[in-house]
Amino acid sequence: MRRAGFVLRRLASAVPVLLAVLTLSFVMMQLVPGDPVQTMLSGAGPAPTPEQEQALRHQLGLDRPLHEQYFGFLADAVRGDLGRSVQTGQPVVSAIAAVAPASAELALFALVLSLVFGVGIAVLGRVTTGPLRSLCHGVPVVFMSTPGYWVALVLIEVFSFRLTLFPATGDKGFAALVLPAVTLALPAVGVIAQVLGTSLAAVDAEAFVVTARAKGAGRWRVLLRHALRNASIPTITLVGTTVGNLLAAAVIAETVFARPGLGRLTLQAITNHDIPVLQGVVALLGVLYVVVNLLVDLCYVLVDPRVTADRIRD
Amino acid sequence: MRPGVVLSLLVLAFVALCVTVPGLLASTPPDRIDPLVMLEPPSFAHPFGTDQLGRDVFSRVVHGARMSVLVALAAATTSLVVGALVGLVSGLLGGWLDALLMRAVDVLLAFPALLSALAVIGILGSSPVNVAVAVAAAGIAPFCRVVRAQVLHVRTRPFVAAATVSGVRPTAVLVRHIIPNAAGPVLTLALMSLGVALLASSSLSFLGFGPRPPDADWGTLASSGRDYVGTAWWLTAFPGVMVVCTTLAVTALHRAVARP
Amino acid sequence: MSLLAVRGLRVSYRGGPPALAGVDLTVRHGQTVAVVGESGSGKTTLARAVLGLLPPAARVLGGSVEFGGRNLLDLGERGMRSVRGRSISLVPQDPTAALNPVVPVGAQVAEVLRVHGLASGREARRRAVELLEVAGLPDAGARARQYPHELSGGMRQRVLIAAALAGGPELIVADEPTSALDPTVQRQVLDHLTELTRSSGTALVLITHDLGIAAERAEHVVVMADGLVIEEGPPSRVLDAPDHPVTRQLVADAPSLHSTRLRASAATDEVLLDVRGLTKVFTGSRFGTGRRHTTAVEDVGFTVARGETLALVGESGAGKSTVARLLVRLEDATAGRILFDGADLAALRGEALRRFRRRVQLVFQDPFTCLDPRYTAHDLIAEPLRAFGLDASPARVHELADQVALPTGLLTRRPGELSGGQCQRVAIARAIAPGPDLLVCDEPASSLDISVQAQVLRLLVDLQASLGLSIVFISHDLAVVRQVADRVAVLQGGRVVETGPADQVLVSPTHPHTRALLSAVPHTPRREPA
Repeated sequence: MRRAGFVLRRLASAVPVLLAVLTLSFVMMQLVPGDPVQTMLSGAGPAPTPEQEQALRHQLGLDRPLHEQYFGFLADAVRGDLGRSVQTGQPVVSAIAAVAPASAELALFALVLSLVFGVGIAVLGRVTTGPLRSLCHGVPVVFMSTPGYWVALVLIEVFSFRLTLFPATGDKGFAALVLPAVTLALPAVGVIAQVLGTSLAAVDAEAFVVTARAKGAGRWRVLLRHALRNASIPTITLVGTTVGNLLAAAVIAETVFARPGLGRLTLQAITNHDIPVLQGVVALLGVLYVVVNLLVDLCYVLVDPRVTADRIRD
Repeated sequence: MRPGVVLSLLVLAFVALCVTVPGLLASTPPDRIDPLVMLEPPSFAHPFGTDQLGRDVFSRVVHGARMSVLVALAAATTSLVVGALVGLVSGLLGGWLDALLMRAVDVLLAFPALLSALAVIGILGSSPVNVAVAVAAAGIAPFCRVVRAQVLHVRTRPFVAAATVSGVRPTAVLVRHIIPNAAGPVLTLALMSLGVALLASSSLSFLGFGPRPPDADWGTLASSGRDYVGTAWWLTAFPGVMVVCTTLAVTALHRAVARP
Repeated sequence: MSLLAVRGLRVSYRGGPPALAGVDLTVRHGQTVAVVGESGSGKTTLARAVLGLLPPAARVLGGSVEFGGRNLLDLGERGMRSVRGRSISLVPQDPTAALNPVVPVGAQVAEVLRVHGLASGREARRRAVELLEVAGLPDAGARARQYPHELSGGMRQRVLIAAALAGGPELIVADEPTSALDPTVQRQVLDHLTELTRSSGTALVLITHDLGIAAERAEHVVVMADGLVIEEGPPSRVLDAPDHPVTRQLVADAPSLHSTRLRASAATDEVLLDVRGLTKVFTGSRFGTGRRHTTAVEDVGFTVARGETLALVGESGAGKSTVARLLVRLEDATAGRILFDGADLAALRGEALRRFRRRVQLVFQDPFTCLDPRYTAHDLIAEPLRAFGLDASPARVHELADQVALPTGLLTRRPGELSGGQCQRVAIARAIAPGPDLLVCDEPASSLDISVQAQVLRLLVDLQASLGLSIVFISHDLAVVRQVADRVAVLQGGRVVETGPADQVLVSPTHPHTRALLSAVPHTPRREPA
């Protein structure tokens, strides 16, 4: 009951965010230099007549006043109609739907990798001593400082050309997923390991850790039962933002590994000034942000009893 | 000083030399084409090898530093200035303006930095200046957050109330007590955001939105070597190593400053 | 035969000067031993060393900790684990920080049983509830499922006591177990703890800075200073006839209800401050949940005459600090009037308010946080002089430093390089710099060691006499109040429940809350002639 009310309230507070995101993407369209009608008609064939231009302009609603266009855009968006690609004429929603599963598969696999290795490195950095500990403290920074495109190129060089373990391109099968997913995951592993490691170290200095040790609890018990849960809030926040970052990194990974997906769709839209597609991607990210944040907030409530629906992240 | 900090300073000193006097470090002009030495692996004459036109990769990497570093510096500085102003106004004035600005920051944070930067490029078109603008725009939101949080935090510290009771005027309290005590974490963030800006701008260059040939920064150099992965690894390896080393040095310094 | 025998224990942090410089401590079975000392005396390091819980920066340089025939220093981490909680347990200092915020309290008590294999599953949960009952937690069955933030400070400390008892230890080390609690709660919890250890025959090492607590409860008192035991013996002997000069000073400085005013009162009949119907309601607004009103101060009224000291006393949450902030206009009153020298302070705004601040100054509770760490003592003292357009020359700053007995050589230092007492002197110099008529002192000495506290109180009454100041003195410590106040107003839940001359209120109180506050003050057995 309390949880249900909580979810409803969070969803209600998501409406202004979504509205803002849609407004942002509408404004974005207005800011773009050049005329979308010209772009659409500038393909092969003879130069368009003024009548053709006028007809298309009317069809797209671009001859209406700005505020009418805005509310029309919002109404269409709510109905799930985000217009058509300027480049291909395909509806934006179906263009996105066509490539979304490939990206989702990639991002999910990368997320699992980041969590497993990020948490693993942070925990190892607390329980080990000597060189392994130094390694666990140093590696995250290196991962965070390495640009994704370079990781991709090095992985291809080593694992595709030298060791021939994984294919360098394509989207067929699990083997083709490994290198792009590692590319995506590497910086995320770094950030998660770093943030969780710092929080764990901070919690170690807390008085309740001394209390636990004074009860006779051992190192692993203190870590798993007391430190990890208290240290996890910043990491949960981080995992929320990581989901978006994985999609951003996908722009590069999908380009280098020649995989179809949202990242490449975005890149093509930008290169071709295909604003409706770009608007679609922005709207999708907005929805994703809202959903991920709802999950993140739910995790807070599960992890920390002090967090209640009306005082979250204060 | 710890050895990591010394090493970082050495790396940054080398990069600074590349930016200011590249000719001193690499006497071969970066765009001299030599058909006799196409795609040669690293050697004594060409420490980083040569590319498909026989150009010296070492010289191209050294000369590419200027564009890479200046774009990142400009972007990080702009983010700092704009973000700090917005955060300061938001934290000091409070009320509906604060609520509005922070919702706007929320929306900006909803988008990963690289995608926001790409969207700005999509609007402005591609050029090194626009890359700097795009990366700067994408980096503003964290500064707003941190500056606002710092201002709100420092404002509740007892010494601020003590200054008020001592008759210090509100503007003087702000200038003498709040801003200096709020600055530390903000400058630390600035160092980190320089590393992030370097990664983001070189990524945008890699995607082809940066300088046009024959100009090249580290991102475009790595990108132009893509077709030779598997045959001429040095084309992509060395520009990448420079990005990693520079970012790593900046990040290591950030760590040293953040945790003295 | 002794249960615990610490011999020649030496500990230092990061190779610095020794925190323990050869300490001996003997505890017999079932005995209660109080270890008394000021901050930096090494008493907490001693407690930690006995449990083998020294922070990583600490090094044991020598000595032994014999317990039950074994030297605990030789056991190593694994061996100590079976000792901690089972043979020796700890009642930590701050009950809020010492409990894991995300685990129900029952589970935190049961953890001791699980760790040592004494009980598991349902049995451990049942025993935990029993222990919580024994520790005096009301409605223990339901409370066991609650989280620390849902309990009061006193209840949290009872949870920690239950956890300390769970393993059936032979020795409990209690490190300032009640210093974070309100006086009335402090008394109940201490009574309960000593009662439990006595009835179960458990030995207790009670670490405290409070001589009264030590005198009342211990069979044996050990006084520490600078990492050494300087004196020990039965409380009647150590506290009534101390040998060591440091102990003598500690006893002399400890305020008690038997002490008298530090200096004869110079109160006049002329009313300087007249507060009427003062009310402060805090409104917390959050999106989507409506507004929440908290009444911090309600219909508070009192007067302060020129040269008089009025003490506002009460426990945490009574509204004392809010009144202080209202008087210096750091907060705006919701209702009521603050008449200062005939003018309504509540109506002042902007520049008029700023100029008015010259006449009413505030001394803060924590001397470290009320000074901007970036400036030198000289700059900090000159700041109010400059702000009010007064003479801010070095000569004037030196004069102020002399008035608060701050060595002028320290003026070039920043707060981080000064001690708590020195910082409080800087803060007081700032407060008297503009030549105020009224000084509002919000617990000005409660965060300081007893000897420093005595110096600061002495300084305040001396300044009052030489400058003719009126003082509103806010405190939770009635023994301190006894030394400075002419009149007392007792606050409870934001309301004044009793007010009158100090001699009357502190000797024959009429309101039950005042009586409760008075009975909570530990009785130091020493009666110093004035």
